[in-house]
Amino acid sequence: MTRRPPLALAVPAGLGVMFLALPLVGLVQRAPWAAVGHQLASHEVRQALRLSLVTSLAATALAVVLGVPLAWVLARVSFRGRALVRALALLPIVLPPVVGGVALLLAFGRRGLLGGWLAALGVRLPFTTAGAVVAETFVAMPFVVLATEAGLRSLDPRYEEAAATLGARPWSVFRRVTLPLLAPSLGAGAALCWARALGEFGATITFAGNLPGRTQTMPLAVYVALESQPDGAIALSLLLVAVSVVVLVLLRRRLFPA
Amino acid sequence: MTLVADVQTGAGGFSVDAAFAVGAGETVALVGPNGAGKTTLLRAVAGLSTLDDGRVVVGGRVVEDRRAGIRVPVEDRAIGFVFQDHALFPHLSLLDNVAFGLRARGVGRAEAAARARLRLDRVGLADRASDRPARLSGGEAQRVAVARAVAVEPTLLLLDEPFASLDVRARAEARHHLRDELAVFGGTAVVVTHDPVEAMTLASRLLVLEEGRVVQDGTPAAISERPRSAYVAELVGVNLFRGRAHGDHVILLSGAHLVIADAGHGDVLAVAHPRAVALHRHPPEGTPRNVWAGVADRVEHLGERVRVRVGGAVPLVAEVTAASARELRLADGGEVWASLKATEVTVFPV
Amino acid sequence: MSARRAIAAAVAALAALVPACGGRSAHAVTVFGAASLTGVLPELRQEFLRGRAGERITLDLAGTPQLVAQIEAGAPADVVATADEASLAELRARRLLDGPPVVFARNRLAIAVRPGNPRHIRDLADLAQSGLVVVFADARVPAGKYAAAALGRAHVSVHPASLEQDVKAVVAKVVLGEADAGIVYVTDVRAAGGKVGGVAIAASDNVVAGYRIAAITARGRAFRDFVLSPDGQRVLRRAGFLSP
Repeated sequence: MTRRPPLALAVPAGLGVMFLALPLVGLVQRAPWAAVGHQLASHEVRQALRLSLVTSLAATALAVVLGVPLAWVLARVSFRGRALVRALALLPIVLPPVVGGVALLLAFGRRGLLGGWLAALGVRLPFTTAGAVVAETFVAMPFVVLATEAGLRSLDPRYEEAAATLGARPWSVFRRVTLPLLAPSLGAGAALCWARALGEFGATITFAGNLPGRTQTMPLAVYVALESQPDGAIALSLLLVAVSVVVLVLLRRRLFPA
Repeated sequence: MTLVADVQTGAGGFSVDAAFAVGAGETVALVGPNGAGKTTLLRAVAGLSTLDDGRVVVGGRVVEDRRAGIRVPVEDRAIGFVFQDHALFPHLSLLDNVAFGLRARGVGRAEAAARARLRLDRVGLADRASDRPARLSGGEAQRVAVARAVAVEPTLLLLDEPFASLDVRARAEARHHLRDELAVFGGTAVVVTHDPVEAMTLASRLLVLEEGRVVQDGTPAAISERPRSAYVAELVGVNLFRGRAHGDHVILLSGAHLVIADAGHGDVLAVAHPRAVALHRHPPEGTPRNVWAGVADRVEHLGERVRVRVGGAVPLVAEVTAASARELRLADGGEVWASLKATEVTVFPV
Repeated sequence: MSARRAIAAAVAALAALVPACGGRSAHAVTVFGAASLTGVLPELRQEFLRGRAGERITLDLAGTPQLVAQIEAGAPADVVATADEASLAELRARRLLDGPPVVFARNRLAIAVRPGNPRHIRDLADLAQSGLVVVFADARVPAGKYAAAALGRAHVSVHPASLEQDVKAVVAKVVLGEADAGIVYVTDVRAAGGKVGGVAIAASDNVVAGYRIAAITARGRAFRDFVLSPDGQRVLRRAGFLSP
């Protein structure tokens, strides 16, 4: 049924829409449309774009590899402190990314908790592309955990039970039954994770620094270009907005079931 | 004994404390009202939930014994399980569903597929091997679920309300198929149901569960003769007649005729509730066309009602009010006439 | 109600909110300061407010280009202090300043190293060693420009691990131990206390940064004048800044 909205709801709703839409309108209106193609074709932009794609895809892969088993444990294993672990898994969503970056330095930095151990293995994360991947994973992994755990909880447990009665070991049940049935939820979580990783700024600049070609991803390039080349910054921003909109449109059925 | 179970569990919200055994090749129906703990008991035997106490022995192997600290995981119990809604894997084809257990047990891809195809062929679905389960009717899904469970040749097959999700029309056919499947399977099976007709057509023995306890255990005939509780009397204590239908009548195994409103053709099971059976001291006149002479040889009081077993050419059970039992002086025994209206008899093809 | 009317009502409500947010006390002054003034500006504020009960000063500290961009976008600043000349010249050219910018302090560069200088860094040339993690500020902030100029003068080519957003971020990377060395201002080394060590840069290679201050509104003049006064200069000397 279609309702006629009462004024008390329609006005704030209209305000909300405007609040969200106006910044995008500003971006589109200020965009140097004639120069967008030229801006996006520049070496710096292509370098940042390539780096962003590589790091965000790697971060998504890492988030899936770590996040899916974590979601499985949270959904299927009952243990003391589960609520705490779940809160921990979602913390990066609410944590200011810069704080996340500092925390990552204190854990994986040279002087961090695991610093000596990583150095012994010849691994350095801060100021490296791998570090940018780690920062993006840290911030974006909760989306994989959240979507996968919700998917697991809504999965009919009898599929897994049926597989077990047929003689399948737990790992085989997971691989051949749980994972395929989970694919839609996991896909949505991974897409959101990827979009978040692509837009990551605070944790990346704090943990991985800012060096073109190595750790300067698109959002960092936008920030750096903001004062010196505002047109370039707007062009890059448009690209990021376009990517996000495409992800949300592709996921609309998953995120907002009719 | 293929299954010896002594199960105490609180899993599933019902407290269950039941001990029973099932012999090799035997099919037992586990019957009881909703909430009696039938599914809980079945899941505990399969290892899908844990026991609070007790033990389960399958094919001579102890698969669970709380006191000895033994618990064999579900996948190693060699117990097949058919779920109420079949639980066919929606992402796999019918062939891959049936081959799943074989693959999980290390059978090669080609051989598993060949054996699965044979199973599908047997249930008449070989031509749909590449379909997804979503495209099956309830009855077809049920056949695939049974084929999938027996494909790995389990020592024991457990079926949880296999017909619950089917409509009435599909049930008769599904029952027919399942009976054939169980016969071919030849193994030991426990079927959970709350439908007495299902229980009696599929099983050679009934196990009645009420409030988590086994209240009665025996052949369908023995139980319908002497139901030990109102529930058993109500649901299991019915008159069953096997025979062959010929249009408007059934010729019973004893040779007697049973007139039915619409009997159909072929082997059937005719069911009549004891309350539909009227007793008389003199041959009745009028409409009833099924009238048999017999002897009132056992009278049992169940509250305000009285169950009377009538021996004779067509043995049956009648249930009458205490008042009419007094009036007819049934307690004295002696010759009675039992009558049954054709419209009170329900016929199920078998 | 039609969608169009709902939107019109929303616009009206939004417009009504704006003036309420914009109101400011006449005695509240907002100072925009370069990141390298992070340590000294609070001290200047404290001195300034001594005996000026009822007045308030809000500090907004960031990289110089960010401050300039915000002021150009209409940020409510009353005074601005940067570590270079060009930024304020740009604002002046756009007629956004109240009076000309004035040099109020000077600063020199130093190499920030780990406490105790474990990598034995003696001069800019040592920063070119392989295996050494060196960071400096991005060339769009003054500290980055000066660092590049100093390295040019010393004919040293360094591959930085990162180009940080402002000089404070450079100091932070050395404090946290992620970088072995960073090029910062002398005052930053002093402000960090013992958390970093400082290595002087030869005068022939070093760059002198001229800090400029300007009022943006009439309200900002008093603070600007205080910074230029003997009292304000004393605070700056104490923090290690050189006289103008």
